Amino acid sequence: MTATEATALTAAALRDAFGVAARWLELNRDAINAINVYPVPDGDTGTNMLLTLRAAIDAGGGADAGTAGAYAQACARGALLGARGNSGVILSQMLRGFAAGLDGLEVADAPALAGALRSAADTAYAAVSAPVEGTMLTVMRDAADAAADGTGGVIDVLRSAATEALVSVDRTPQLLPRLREAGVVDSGGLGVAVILVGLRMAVAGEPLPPAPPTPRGAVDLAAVTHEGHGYCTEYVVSRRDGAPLDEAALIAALDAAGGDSILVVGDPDALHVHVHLDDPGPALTAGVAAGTLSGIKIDNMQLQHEAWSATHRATDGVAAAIPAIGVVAVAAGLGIAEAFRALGAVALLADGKPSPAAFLEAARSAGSKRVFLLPNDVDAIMAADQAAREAPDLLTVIPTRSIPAGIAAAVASTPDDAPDDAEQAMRLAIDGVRCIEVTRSARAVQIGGVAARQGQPIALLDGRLAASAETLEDALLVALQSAVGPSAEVVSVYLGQDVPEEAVASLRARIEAAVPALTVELIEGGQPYYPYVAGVE
Amino acid sequence: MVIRIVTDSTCDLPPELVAEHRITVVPLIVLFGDEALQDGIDISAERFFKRLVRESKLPTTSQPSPAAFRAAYERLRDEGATEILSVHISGKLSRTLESARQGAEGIEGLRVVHVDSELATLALGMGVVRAAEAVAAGCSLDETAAIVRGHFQRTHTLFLVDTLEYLRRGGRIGRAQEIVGSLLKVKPILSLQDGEVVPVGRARTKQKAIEEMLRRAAEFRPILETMAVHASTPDDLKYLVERLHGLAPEARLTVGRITPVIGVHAGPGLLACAVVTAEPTSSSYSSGT
Repeated sequence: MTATEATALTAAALRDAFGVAARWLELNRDAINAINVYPVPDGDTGTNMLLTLRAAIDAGGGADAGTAGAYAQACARGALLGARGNSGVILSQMLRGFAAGLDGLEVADAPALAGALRSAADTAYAAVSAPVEGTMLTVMRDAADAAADGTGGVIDVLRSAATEALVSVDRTPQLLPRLREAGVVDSGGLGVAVILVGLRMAVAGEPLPPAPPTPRGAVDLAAVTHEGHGYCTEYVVSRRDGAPLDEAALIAALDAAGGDSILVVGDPDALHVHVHLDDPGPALTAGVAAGTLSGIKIDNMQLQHEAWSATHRATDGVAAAIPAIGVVAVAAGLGIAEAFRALGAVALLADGKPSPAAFLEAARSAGSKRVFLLPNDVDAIMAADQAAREAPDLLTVIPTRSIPAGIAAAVASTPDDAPDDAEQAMRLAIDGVRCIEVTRSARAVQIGGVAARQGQPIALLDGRLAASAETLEDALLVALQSAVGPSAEVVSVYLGQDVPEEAVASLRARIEAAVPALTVELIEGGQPYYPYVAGVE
Repeated sequence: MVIRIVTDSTCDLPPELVAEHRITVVPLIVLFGDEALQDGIDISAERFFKRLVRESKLPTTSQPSPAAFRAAYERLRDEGATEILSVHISGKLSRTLESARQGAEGIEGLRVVHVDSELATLALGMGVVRAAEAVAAGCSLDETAAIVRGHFQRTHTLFLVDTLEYLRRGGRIGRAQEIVGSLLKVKPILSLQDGEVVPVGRARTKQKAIEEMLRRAAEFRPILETMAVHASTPDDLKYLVERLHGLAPEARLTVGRITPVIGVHAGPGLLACAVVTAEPTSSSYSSGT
């Protein structure tokens, strides 16, 4: 049986179709990433959807395994645990609905396939507490409507669905003002359409066309998403006797060895060292020259990258008792991870957005009977919720939408707290924490009366565009002025990985002048994309 | 039988309550270098905190001498007392109780019973007032001691400091250091449990810390009695008092300011409250009135 003559899809045909869809999604990933609605360059919708679809395919397993229904079920399970970001979680719900539609079926014929698409749309809507039109939900529903009751063959169902999905994507700016203002279509919706087109191409036996061009003005994500792989080396250097440890000299040595993400914290008696290098040897040599090493930990980041995420734990060598409660906090940078660890939390350093599986793994590594998840990003909350549904007795999500909110929550809980006490204290603590994110606009925008040119420094206050300015620091200061209310006490600024030193030198004084009477703290956060993230509490 | 009540200057009772209940307060000692000042007598809280800012070297403290207690006990005996209940700051925070015990040794014609409150400041003070009330109501010395011990068991303290530095220097930090991370500014929420300083929570801002204190205090409802003290932050105290009143509108609420000796060990940012819960935790407790 050739694909073009298929009257029903077997498990193997479904697997092949998903494989082609994933390849097509991969070719379109940059284009999808580039049209993030918010004018910041951390768009990763395409990446999140692709990783989620790959997780589904991996879980689906080898060829000829069982029925179409069982295959779809296995994929759905894999997507559930591998989902990344909100778009990935919604896609995982679509796959769950799709599998439910094929439940118990040996093969998927046209009516069954149409029913599965309908079920995919319905399940996705049901999973979102406040569905918004003009998003991937709308696109999936429109596609399911077009597939209708599955008249014609399997290929007709997929053609109707894919064609309508593309048309629906073009309509999304009419439905969602945010998209219209930003001049883009919905990225998640485009992802859904790309997957449906991929399925159609597979079943129709069409060859994959070349990748579409990335929209003009979009950021070159390849340049910013990853610093390259190699080894992550961590250790503690202790003073050998005699002279105190020289932090600056050690940093200089690591830097001279070509290290990235260098982080050296501690005091003249002991320093915790973290560095990324292609070869861990020079990192250790620099440490041995300074003092006595302990707690050495070397991770192959390439392997970590291929695995879903890396869970870093404190390596201070203290055999800690298992606390009553655990806290797992998503950390966007190594410095932020250090801050969370200092507060007793397990830092989840995710490559991109963490999957539900990464949350589960980190939570289990915490060892406690009750673990609280701090997503610290709007786009990680759904994956955390997904993990909590997998292990409701173990996990509770505190829906922290930013790094400062996550820090406030982590501060509010201590390891000996009764779980209910901790939950109450954390929910109370995140109330009223304001978050400023400073970056450069990915394109020219005008939102809520604030205009920014492409590449211009902008500040978001609690996720909304609040200021544009000529320098990153000016944008931060303008946003701070409007974020600081009468009850504000502390301003914490997390410095991103690419902040110029000369700007930081005068930053504290400028903030103190702008918001007098507040305590100002600057923390080496090391987060990507946002040179400054600030919290006002 | 004439019973009188003795305590020490860390009770932080306002002078009018001391006078009303005829309580004898033995002062601890504040030492600025070689200069020894009687706590609350030679130096007031007001003057102490002003001076603390100016002094380059931090003051230290000392418990009253056994002789000071002996003098107080003998004076009360000479005034006609036959029995004394001597109630003091936690023996784990100060050696005051040891001094009091030594001072009571060998005094003819006087029975002295000592109680370790395992507390300090007004949480101690209101137990002292409770003792005076029990005596006035006709309780015996042993009954009064039992009532006061029950009262202390049902007293729960919560306090904030601006920095743990003062507790650390004085060697009274206990486990509080454990919960304060090194990278970020964190305000610990502390309590006295079994006579020692223990951490119970932490917050990023003073406002959140006060809310968290109140949330924890509310868990002890029904509340019979509340108290609040500050070192040098009257506005925070005012807010705390209003909220405590809201928490238990019917309960007696006593407000004070910490004595210089407590100020040496807690620093100028201390803000504390205590609640006495109605839940009996000891079978020996009876109301007595």
